[in-house]
Amino acid sequence: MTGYLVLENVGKTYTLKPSKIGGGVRHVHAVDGVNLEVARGETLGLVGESGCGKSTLAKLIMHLEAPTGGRVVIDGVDHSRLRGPALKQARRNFQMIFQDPQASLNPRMKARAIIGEILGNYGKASSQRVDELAALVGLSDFHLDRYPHQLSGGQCQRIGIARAIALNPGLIIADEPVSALDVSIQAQILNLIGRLREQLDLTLVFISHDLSVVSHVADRVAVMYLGRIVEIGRTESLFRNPRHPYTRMLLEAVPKPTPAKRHARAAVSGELPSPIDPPSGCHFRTRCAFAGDDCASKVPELRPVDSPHMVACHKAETIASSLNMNVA
Amino acid sequence: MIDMTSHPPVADPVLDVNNLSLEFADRDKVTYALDAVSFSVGEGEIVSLVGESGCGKSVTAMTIMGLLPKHGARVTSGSALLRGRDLLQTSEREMRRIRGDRIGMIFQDPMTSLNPVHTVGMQISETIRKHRRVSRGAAEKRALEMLDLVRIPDAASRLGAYPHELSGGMRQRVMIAMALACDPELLIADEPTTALDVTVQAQVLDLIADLRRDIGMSVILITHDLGVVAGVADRMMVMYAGRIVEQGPTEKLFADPAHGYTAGLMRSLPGVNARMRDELREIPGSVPRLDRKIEGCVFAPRCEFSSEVCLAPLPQAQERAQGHWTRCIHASAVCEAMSDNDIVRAWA
Ligand SMILES: Nc1ncnc2c1ncn2[C@@H]1O[C@H](COP(=O)(O)OP(=O)(O)O)[C@@H](O)[C@H]1O
Ligand SMILES: Nc1ncnc2c1ncn2[C@@H]1O[C@H](COP(=O)(O)OP(=O)(O)O)[C@@H](O)[C@H]1O
Ligand code: SF4
Ligand code: SF4
Ligand SMILES: [Mg+2]
Ligand SMILES: [Mg+2]
Repeated sequence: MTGYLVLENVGKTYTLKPSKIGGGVRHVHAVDGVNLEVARGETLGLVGESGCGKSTLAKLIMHLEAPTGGRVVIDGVDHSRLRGPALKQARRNFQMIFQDPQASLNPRMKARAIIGEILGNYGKASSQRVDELAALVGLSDFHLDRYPHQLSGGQCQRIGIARAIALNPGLIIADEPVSALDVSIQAQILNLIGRLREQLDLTLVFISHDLSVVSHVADRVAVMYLGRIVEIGRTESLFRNPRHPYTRMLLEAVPKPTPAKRHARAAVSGELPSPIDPPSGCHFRTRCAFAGDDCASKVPELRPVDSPHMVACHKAETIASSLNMNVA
Repeated sequence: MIDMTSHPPVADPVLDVNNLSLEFADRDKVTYALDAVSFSVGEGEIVSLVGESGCGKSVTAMTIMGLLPKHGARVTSGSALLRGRDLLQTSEREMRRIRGDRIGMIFQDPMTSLNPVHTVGMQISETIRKHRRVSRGAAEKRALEMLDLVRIPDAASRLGAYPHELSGGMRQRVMIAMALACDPELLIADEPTTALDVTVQAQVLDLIADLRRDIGMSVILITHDLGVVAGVADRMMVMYAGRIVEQGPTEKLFADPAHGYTAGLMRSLPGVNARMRDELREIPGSVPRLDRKIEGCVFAPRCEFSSEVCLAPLPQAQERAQGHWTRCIHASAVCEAMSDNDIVRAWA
């Protein structure tokens, strides 16, 4: 085990109450048997459509939810074994950046107090450190003396980032950190995250539904579909030569500001099945042009096709990989 | 006051918006939301209004449809001619008849326009019966045709479905079916795919493009996404801080961007221009507040091409090429600087 972040067969099943219409208890396998390693200083991009389990996986890593299977190890520590003060101390090492910067900040506190609070929680309150953090994320005194609602989305996200790095964590989980921002502001925040990652030697899990953003920031990318990782590989390799039919569909669907898609139909078929009772075998088989008998009976394991590029598809070898779908 | 009454002419426009200016007045605050907005929509054309949040896309649509709030909003100049008839001079009573009949509308969140307690079949047929004297049976038949048209699988069984029983993508299809039920001349779609996943977005955009081809409707597609524009729009209008700063045929505008803001947007897109882990080209600063009138170029404080002349009152929009108009004084310098941009090269 060499990863800074290691997930071993991690799963999370939510149990839903029986619905009024009848039927018994239902389960959502929000995250299903995920194995992952992220090296120190590496950025892993996590992509997939809404409901595929990205945020649940983030919460499992952040120890905000307990897995129903498997374990999460960060820098050699399995936090599920810790309690009380030991857990609180350990938590300093992993922090989160959220999608909605405005909503994730206390509306009744000024920026200065918001950043100071997390330091205070650990007995490290220091106005000098707040100033230092503000400078790191590009906020001035003007911003520090304001409430979240008086600041723009980009400025609020800078506060969120200052909080996340305040305690010198080794690992940051960023869950859709630029999804609520306009493109011109998005570039500022992506650059900021990129700079801090180098300066502070951060290990980063960067979650986004936006593939072009992920193609820019991530060293490696994992693609999720209905709770499972279906493909993972180095960013260039995955975007240039996607091996899973779902990854291909996703890449083709991305609107690109080039003439590529003009008047060509997107190769998207079918609808996302319900996560409550997903298709047997390969979850993607109901939408896959290559599906065969095996696909309904056997769950495809994630396996190397072009190491370290891994894919969970029975037919990865036979599916021609000649399509040219560069996003990166 | 500077107007931009001039804009690319379109033969026989379905909609012709001229010199539209709009203010919102709260107790002590005025917002200059639109400033001399002018554009036309031709027969069977998809034109895109593109820009970042707050630039005035939705209020442009609301003004055209007569849906501005009763209090506080004031149109200070301009006209919006639907086949020659000025919608801004039309009574609310008449507008109620025009909306849903001659102009169809769809919004980002279908749930805000769908009634949760009625079936989709019922809602579509009610819309039809509001505008047409037809029997319930005929309206229901038309509703079914419409669900087929927007490619809802097994449409007959979906007539009885309630909105919450449908996925987001299906709901947006139902909205489109409802908007098109009375054969409108114009469809205004305000961020219709923004809340959808990319695969579903691709399906809905395909549908809009196909419907334009098959029934020849004209569309104003409002979006913040240049990728969406590139995929489906014939012409595009770039908006910033309440003004249309550049407009033209999509191919021309991407191949020859001629405004500092358009250039800034195209450069800051990740995944196309910059190589991995390289710094992206940022647009510094943030959008201006609209609480005062800005004489010069609204983008000047953030523009890398700006010079002193940009702060003086702006001249009329200039035509760069046929149908391609810009309000940028340094358009040639912008084009020149953008010639090695990856997006520009892809369109050249
Ligand atoms: N607390 C919960 N209770 C029940 N189901 C949940 C809960 N949280 C998430 N889910 C379900 O788990 C799945 C994954 O959700 P999520 O992790 O939020 O996806 P993503 O972030 O990729 O959009 C979805 O089907 C969602 O409805
Ligand atoms: N009812 C209103 N009262 C006051 N200001 C408004 C109102 N509606 C919109 N505005 C302002 O008008 C400007 C344009 O808004 P809008 O058209 O919604 O932008 P977008 O391009 O995101 O659709 C914004 O500055 C917004 O704050
Ligand atoms: S395992 Fe079968 S159904 Fe799944 S992606 Fe591969 S070919 Fe398609
Ligand atoms: S007019 Fe001047 S400030 Fe405005 S976009 Fe052109 S160069 Fe930039
Ligand atoms: Mg999420
Ligand atoms: Mg809007």
